Amino acid sequence: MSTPPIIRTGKTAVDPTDVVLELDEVVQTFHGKGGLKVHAVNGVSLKIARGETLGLVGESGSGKTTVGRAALRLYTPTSGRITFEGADVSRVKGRKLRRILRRRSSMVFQNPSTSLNGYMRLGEILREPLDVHRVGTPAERKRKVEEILDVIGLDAAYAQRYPHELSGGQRQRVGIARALMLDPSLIVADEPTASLDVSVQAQIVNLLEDIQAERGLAYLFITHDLALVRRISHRIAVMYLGRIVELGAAEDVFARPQHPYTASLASMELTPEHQIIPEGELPSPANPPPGCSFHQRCPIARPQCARERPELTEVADVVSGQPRSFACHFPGELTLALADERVVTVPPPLPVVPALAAR
Amino acid sequence: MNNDHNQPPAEAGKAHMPSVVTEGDPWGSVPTVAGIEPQNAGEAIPRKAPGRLREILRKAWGNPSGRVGFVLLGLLVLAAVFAPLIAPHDPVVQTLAATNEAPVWLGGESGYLLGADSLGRDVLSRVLHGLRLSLLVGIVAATVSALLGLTLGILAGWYEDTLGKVLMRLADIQFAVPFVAVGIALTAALGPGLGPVLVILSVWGWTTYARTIANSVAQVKRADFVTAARTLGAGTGRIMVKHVAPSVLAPVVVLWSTSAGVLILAESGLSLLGLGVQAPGFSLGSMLSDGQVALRLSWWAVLFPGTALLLIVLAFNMIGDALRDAFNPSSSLAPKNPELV
Repeated sequence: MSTPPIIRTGKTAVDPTDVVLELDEVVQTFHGKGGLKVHAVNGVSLKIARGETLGLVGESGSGKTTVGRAALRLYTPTSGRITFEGADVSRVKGRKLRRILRRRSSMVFQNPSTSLNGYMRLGEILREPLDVHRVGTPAERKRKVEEILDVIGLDAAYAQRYPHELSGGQRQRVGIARALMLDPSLIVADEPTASLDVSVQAQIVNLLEDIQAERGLAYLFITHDLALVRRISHRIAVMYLGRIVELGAAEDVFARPQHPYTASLASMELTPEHQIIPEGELPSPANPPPGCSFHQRCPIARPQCARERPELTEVADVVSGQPRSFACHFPGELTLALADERVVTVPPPLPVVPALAAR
Repeated sequence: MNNDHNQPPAEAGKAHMPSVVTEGDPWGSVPTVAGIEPQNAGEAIPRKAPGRLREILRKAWGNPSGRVGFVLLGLLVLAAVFAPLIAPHDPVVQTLAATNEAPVWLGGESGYLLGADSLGRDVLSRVLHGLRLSLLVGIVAATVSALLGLTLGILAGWYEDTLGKVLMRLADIQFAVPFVAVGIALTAALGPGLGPVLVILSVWGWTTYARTIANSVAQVKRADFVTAARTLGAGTGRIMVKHVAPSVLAPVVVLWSTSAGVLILAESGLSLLGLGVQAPGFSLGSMLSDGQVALRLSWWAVLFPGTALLLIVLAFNMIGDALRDAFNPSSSLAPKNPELV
């Protein structure tokens, strides 16, 4: 197919005070082998308003998936608060959790082949949320399944089919349909397009946007597709090693990155000679570096960065005036080379601090 | 993918096969292959689908090996049920004149179709009657131990770090304990007879099932579709029954079908030790052990019960194979039923 997929734009209007989900200093620690503690998420705070899409980006291992799963209480947070529609759900269990969070939130997965049970017909898969929460009579459930199949553009007869009889894109649409069965106010979408080919990605994204416009639900959209996240998100949060390093309106964050890590991400859309590629590997979250977690790989790091961890500070964007925050001692120093003559000014490399080298 | 237009003429006969891949787009933003109306399942799929069990049985019946297995098992069950009607002689009456009498087609003079054993009893009648107990033991003990093993295996896999560890160590211990010793102890406590044997055979088999499926259960527990069910509020019990059990049923069915034969033989081993069914009661297994004493004089008293046993095991295995395939929804009846593809 030579014609590029047409992707519509048009984000829904959002009232930022109408908060659906709020994470407050959420820490999620896992216990690895040999008593190793892994801080997969290390003090993440964010808010998502009704009808808003918050894009969560970061490289593999940055903890973005864990944030999504923690938000849906698939884990019990090690510390911090999770508030959903005004109710504190950080520690609730059982029936209460089911009544508040489970009833009004759902998840869309990366791989539609593994997220649908191959032993169930699509009708059973879609009806399950209604069965679990005892919504409606059997006849009403059946009708609801047919309605939702219509929303995602499948014939009602597909209810009798098994997932393996569908294409990848169709399966992903069923995954989205299942997420919609309970009319949720929040959907966590964990790389919902990553395993689909490009033309199908566009369908899925458009479907998600249409649904949002119609139903005003909030998305926590986890992805590493920067072009996509920029287009569909109202705001973007950039994660690095379990922390949010930059958060702001989608149009501001990548146009004027303040954190060098965001700058390096944004530079990936430029020609190779203008890309800023951080050196080395993502450090292990079991043993995070002192100070700023990015300093070992940062092209503008200075001794201060190895000593003090920069706090996430909120400012107003210089151009748009919208609030944005970043965690960097030297914000905005690493800029994008948008034209050939604008070359990144890289300060001298970090001098070796004897105290650190000795460790 | 939709190359209906340039199919060679030889393919024309298959024109009714629906084009499977129709990655179309009902909301009109993505160009699709011209002229194809996608997303419509059409009339090929009935609105009302058959129940899961009926579908599985139909699929298993559609499999040649399954059909042979079902027919064979059906015949054996019929023979067992109607044994008193079709058996030519009383299976326990001893005719001393006919001791070790050869089958009639090998020159036997007393007219026993399959000969007589060393006590002068009709082998054919004994095989027919022996089937009753053996089939009962095989089906009941195999099914009970499969259900027990499935349940414990799912629990062990789901709670892999707690209950699973305990259950797996228990299984290790059970492996170390001789089966026969437990049989003797149980018989000492409950007295000899069919009951204790059935109990021990039913209870002993869980370890194989549990060990086989526990790992798969632990994997399924982490599958996305289980996470999806959790985010939608499904409880652990529901997830185990609806999501985990179907995913591990295939190996359980295979084990069930192979264990039926093993259990029938185990029953004969126990009765040899005086633990199971006692004379004048008998099963195919006890006929084997009785007959081997006089193997050189009347081999037919061993061969025919052995053959019956073989047929039972064969029938179970064929059914097991067919069921295993039928449990998997993606193994369809494709060659015969193209519209279901």
